[in-house]
Amino acid sequence: MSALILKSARVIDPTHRRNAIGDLYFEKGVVSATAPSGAEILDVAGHCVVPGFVDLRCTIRSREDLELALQQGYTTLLCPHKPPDEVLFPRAPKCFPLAPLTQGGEGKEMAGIEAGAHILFDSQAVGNAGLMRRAMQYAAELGAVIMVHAEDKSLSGKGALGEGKVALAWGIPSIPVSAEAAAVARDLLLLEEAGGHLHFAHIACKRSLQLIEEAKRRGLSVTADTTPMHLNYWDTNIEPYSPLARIWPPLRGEEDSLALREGVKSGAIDAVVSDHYRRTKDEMEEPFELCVPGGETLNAVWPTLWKMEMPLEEKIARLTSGPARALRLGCGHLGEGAVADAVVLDAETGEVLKTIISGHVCFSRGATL
Amino acid sequence: MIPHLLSIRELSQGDVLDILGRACRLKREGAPCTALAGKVVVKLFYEPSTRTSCSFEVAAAGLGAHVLNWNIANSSSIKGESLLDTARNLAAMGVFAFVIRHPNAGAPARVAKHIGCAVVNAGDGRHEHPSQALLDAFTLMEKWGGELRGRRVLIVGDILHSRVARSNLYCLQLLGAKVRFCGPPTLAPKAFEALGAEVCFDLDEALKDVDAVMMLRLQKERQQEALIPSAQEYQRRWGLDLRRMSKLKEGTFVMHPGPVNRGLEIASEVMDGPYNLILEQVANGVVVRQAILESLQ
Repeated sequence: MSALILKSARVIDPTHRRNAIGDLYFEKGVVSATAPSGAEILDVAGHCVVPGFVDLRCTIRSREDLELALQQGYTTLLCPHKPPDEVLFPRAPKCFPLAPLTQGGEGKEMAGIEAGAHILFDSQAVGNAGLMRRAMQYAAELGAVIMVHAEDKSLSGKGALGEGKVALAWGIPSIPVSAEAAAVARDLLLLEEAGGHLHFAHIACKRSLQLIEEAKRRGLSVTADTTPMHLNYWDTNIEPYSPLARIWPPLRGEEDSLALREGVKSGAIDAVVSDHYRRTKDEMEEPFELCVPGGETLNAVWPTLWKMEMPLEEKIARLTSGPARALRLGCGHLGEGAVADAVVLDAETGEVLKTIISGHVCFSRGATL
Repeated sequence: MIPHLLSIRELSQGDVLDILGRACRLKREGAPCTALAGKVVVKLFYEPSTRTSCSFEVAAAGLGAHVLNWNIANSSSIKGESLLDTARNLAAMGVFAFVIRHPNAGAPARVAKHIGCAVVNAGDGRHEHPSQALLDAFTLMEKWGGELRGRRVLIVGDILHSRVARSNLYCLQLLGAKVRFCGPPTLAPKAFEALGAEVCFDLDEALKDVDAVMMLRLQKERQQEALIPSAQEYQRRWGLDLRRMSKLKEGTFVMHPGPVNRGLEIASEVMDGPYNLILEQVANGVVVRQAILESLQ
């Protein structure tokens, strides 16, 4: 395997609190402490080199999706649905499937935990608290991590928008905050008893975030993420009935969105995740409630973080060390021996200039894929 | 003139007064039977409807339009065609206006955004039913000498799921009246105060100082959804009967957008009483809908 030297970069590696100008060495697909001989040298003076971006949930339905991920600096993607084989291409970001927590994701019986599958996720709510508790106990013993979609379906019903004045005026069935927050509270109580680690997916409500912050203060092993849609949009800054507003969990109010932004800044929210799901025309042509929830968001996460008022190291952490630690992934840092996944960023504009996967430059801005 | 009639909420007071003024003229002078001659009006109804559907049909025919009826029961939407594809296909035949009834809020707005012809919302989910609100306002204005300012209208029942209540709230407010909602907390939540309504759960309290009472139909499935304990309890607490009628000030009108559950939200004796405007509402519906079609650009 070839070797690569990134010369004179500003290396920002949140895990190791590194933010300094220097060289970075890649050899045999990992980060090396010493300069390899015969290496290709890339002079990246004036640019930043950061760990490859990690997305905890995205749906890859087409090659276009995967190319977009690569152009956006992603090197690791966790996929609730296995990408079709025909969309994969050499040097694409690494896609890892997520294992179901319950059989068929139906929330009825525990799924067998296959060897190596250490992240368990049901995209639907697990309504049965007893089952959830046993799954947590089982996962804790195996060292597996449960990623939770927090929703109480008896409260969310057929809702499609967060409860409030806007849902009332649009005439859209709405979902109270308690549909998310009660599920978060339940699982935090179960976590106290069962042990292990819990990661909350796409937190959308201020109230849930408060519960998670409080649990963190008490020392529970819990992490959380949110999405760029929930950070950028709320029910009053979006066109009524626009399919853009049809997301899951549902769009909420401005106060929730502002609280989420504060959570991202403080680190109470560990990761910003795309939840990318590119919809077909058919899936978006129905009336609002009937539209399939989703959005083209792989290209929204880093631009959203870049524009936020917070230290650059922290912005990078929410896309690298944050998600990697939350789900116990080995990647997301540039320490010696780490996998050689990195992104070269324009220090002025934040633009992704190069995506490096396992030591190979897989994307360069301006070059065709 | 307006491009579409999707909701009352996005109309100005001038728009509403213009439509009501036209309706007044149409009622006085009769409809010019050539106003829409040679034009095609398509009724796109994804939900059963008798009153509204017939009313629009009579209205459009009276203006000389050719009316096409597209019903969910015998159409290609059962074969999986989307609302927008159906509308695109029909529009290609040369359509002046769509009149759309749909179970989902925002459906007419989607058609209006994507298809290049006028759209009239004939009721979409729990969002709005603007032609109903306009005909209700027209009926009350006739009774009150053309002026709604200073009046208070009480709307009773399942406000949460009601497009009629929302459209009436906006329309009556635009014309200077006050609107009070009354019903069980699960069906008339306090949250409506954010839209400018007064909300009161006790019907006997709510009936004080009102000039008109509009009763809404209670859908039977609300009981299964555990939004009310029982129809009997609903009837006892939120039904309009003669005892409650006797507490109203003289001349208070009773309205209902139909269809009525006699003996549930409204007692038979009240239905047949002297101050009920229900049939006048239906009659005025035709001229108001003619005024709407006429005011489309």
